[in-house]
Amino acid sequence: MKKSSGGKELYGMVIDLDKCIGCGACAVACMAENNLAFRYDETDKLKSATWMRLYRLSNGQPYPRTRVVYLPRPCMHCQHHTPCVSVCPVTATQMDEKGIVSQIYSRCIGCRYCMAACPYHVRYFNWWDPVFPKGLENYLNPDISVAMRGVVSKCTFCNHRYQRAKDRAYMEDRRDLKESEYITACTEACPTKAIAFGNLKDPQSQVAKLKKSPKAFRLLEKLGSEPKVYYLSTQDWVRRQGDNVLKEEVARKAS
Amino acid sequence: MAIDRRDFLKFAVGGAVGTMLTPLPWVSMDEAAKWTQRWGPVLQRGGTSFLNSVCRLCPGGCGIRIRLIEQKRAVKIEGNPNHPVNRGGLCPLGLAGLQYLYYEENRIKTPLKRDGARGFGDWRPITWEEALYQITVRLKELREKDLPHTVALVDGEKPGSQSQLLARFLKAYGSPNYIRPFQLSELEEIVTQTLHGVRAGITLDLPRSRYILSFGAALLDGWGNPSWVGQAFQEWRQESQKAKARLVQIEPLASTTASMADEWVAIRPGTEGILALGLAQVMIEKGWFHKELVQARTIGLEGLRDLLNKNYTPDQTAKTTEIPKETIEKLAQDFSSAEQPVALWGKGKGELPISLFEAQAIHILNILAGSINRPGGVYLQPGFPYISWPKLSLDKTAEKGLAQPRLDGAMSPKYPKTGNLACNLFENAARKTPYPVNLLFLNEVNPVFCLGERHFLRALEKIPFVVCFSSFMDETANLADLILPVSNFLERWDDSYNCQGVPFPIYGLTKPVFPPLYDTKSSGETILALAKNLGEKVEEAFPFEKIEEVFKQAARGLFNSKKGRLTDGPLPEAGKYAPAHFESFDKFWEQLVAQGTWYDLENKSEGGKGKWDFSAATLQAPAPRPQSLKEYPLWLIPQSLMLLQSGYLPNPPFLTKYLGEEVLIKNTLVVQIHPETARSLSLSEGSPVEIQSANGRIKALIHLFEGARPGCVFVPLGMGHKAFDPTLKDRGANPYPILDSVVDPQTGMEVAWATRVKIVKV
Repeated sequence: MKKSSGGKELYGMVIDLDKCIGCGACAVACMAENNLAFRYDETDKLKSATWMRLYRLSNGQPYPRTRVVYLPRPCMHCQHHTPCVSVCPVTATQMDEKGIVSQIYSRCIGCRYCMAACPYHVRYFNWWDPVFPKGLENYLNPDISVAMRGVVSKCTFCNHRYQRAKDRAYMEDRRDLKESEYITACTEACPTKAIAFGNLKDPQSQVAKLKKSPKAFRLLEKLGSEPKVYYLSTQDWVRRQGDNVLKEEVARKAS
Repeated sequence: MAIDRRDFLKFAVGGAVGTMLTPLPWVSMDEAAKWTQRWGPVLQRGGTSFLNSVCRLCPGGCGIRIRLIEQKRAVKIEGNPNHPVNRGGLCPLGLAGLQYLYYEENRIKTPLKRDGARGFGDWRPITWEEALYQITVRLKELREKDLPHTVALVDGEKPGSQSQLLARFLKAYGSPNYIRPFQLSELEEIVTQTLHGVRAGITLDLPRSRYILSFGAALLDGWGNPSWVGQAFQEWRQESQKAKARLVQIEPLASTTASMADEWVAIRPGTEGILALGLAQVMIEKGWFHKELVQARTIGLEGLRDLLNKNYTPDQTAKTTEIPKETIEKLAQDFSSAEQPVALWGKGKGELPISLFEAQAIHILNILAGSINRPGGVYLQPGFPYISWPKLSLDKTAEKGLAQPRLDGAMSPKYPKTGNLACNLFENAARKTPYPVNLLFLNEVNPVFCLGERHFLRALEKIPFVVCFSSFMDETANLADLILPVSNFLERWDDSYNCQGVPFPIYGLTKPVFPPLYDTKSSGETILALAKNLGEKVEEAFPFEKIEEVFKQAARGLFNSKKGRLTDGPLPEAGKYAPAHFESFDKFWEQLVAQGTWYDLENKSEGGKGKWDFSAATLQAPAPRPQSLKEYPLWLIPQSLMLLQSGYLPNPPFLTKYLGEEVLIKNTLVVQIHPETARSLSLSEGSPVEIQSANGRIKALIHLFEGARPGCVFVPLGMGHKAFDPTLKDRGANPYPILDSVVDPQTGMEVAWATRVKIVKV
């Protein structure tokens, strides 16, 4: 296990669920940025490759106290004992020094251990060749290779946008990136600015401040994988679903 | 026969050699290699550049940046961070915009002429010259016969110079029948004309509103301009705000908006207008209204009070709306005591008309609260006054044609305030009253899919020639006689006047990112060519050599106004806005083309000269169509979704991909229903059913949802196309044709929403 070295950068995301209206702009921006294909029928969500997936949570209360909340789910980029990295037999996935968990298609042998290991279902196996119906190969982004059949793909926090920002900084004779110089495609697209993205190690950054908020939580925190994606919600029932506490566990805790 | 060692070896070697001579080992090796080493498409690389433009997919007019590779391949659409409306964000539709440009299967590539019977899909590609010639011959003939008024045009183009061109063409040619399909702004203008005595659009200063009372608008699911509402929603949820904003949603379903709202008021479907008057009654009776403004600007308060006291007391309102009396009183108190409150209307995304009664009832709340032309409230915006067209001189034929009554009956003595009634056009064309239609132009509309299929199909039998401007072979284009392919908004010059619902003037200029991919033209270019072919006065009406000059003329108007600035830098902070100065028009034009958007934050709103008259409002709810509750015991309520387009545009594949399992499973539509209601009909999760109304039936699967009002079934709007690519074609069902509609006696519009249905298990 590689620990992140003491670099100055550690990227993370904070998603404010009180501001998220489930419009799907983040998801569409992600697919457009990262060369994701679509199939004619995508209603089987187990086979639908959606790096940024929208979950619709319901509080299950009777009418008219029912509420739904949308939860966008990118890769959590777990900081501690990254589950997928620790099981990959061919080092096709690794966490780099700035905290981004990568996926290298040309190394991937498609064994799908990482998918079994990931507690968040963020990884998708390409069962088919990605098909771009005639004409649509034109909009493919040259900064990102298209994942071929037989490999696993996942959200990379738009690592290529980091490279682009870094290149620009070097050209301007700078070493460090300024706040929001590098943001993911989903962060940029969000019409309600519910997503914040930045350097968790910079105490002045927006994400570093937001993650300290009393309404912040992470998904399945009890696993100890230290996800770098934080969520904010003022509603208890949303936070409870985030940790996915089983009914028996609540009873055990209470007793 | 004995096989010795020698025979065996001969057989083995011969077999091996034989196998090598067949293609079998090579093909299987090749296949194995392909299976293990299949790579995606090789992407063309090159320098990246960004180009500013304006999105034309909805009337929102958001600023966009297009990422280009080698200046010839568009790879991404992003929001323009300097644009005052979307500020870098963008709705999912805009982000998926390139799928409209590049998806070959959906696009029409050359002009097409019908061979064989209508609707059978036998198309013959023809040249533009031939297509224009065929239209010109017909147009000339009709003019010679003194029948120019029998030409009609239904224009679904968003407000801008291009729709002005089309309207001007019809006028110069001599037909009064330039008709636009329903848009919420149409109803807004009628409301302001009746109540304020001035025709204006209703725009909302949502980011500054502090109490938002939404009567069923799918505010967070695509109502109005999604980016503008998104900006506002973000402001409302800002913790640093002094006064926290409160969003109250009145709706029968736990929709996105109802769930995200601070308060959800579950109402009986179709009684929103009655609730509004109930609130007005409490406000007037208890004196909870803006007395200064109401006294200074309005008349007819006494009459309103008497009427409300008679019919809309809290007890009466509670009975009709099924909302507790206490809630009604509390809503009235909260609304009137809030700082900067606003009430808004337009069910769903506002794609279907509501009754004038309902719109007026809700608008009265804004007047009572003093929210007209005030920060955080409603601004009345009279059109886009910066652009002047050259004077139009008509010839005798045109004058005679224009003197004829309009085919749709709009602006007639019966419906003097209504500007357009597209449904009536088709109905009257079918009956050939007051006169038949000889040539019908359809520009970017799909009446066969949307409300109006029945009327359109009947009318089609009586119209000898239908010309369709469209980018896609949709249900309507498929029935036309001649199709003129329209360039995508990334391939043409275009512009937008104002952003829908935004309370300050904005002009957006769209320029071609590259020449059209196929043999297409914008509808404006086609109109200029047709005018030239017709010659004489019609040609004189269009003194433009090239289509750019139309937009240059608009830009000249902006330059001469000496107002506004461009999106060439970050947005000015509050109170630091100043108009930009340009040395010459050429510099201004150059910058406008580069930046894409002009805006003027110094808002001028219109209040009219006279007094605002309450007595002009219609306070009688239109009677619903009588129907047997026994036969059709449930309410069908159409549901608008952000990820599902329900108008002319097909849903892009990226959006369809994200539709949840509560919308579509495989090829079947999913409808939401309360578990109790389902149980009473012995239905369970996933039951296949048929939903039947008096007008027709659709197939669906049942999804149980606690948040659905008992006795109602919620049906998503937008699936069920019979055209387009396999992500859309024959998937789901289209609820438009089974909706019940009632003609609103005040506006003549067909009001369709909640419909009585029954559910049958299949």
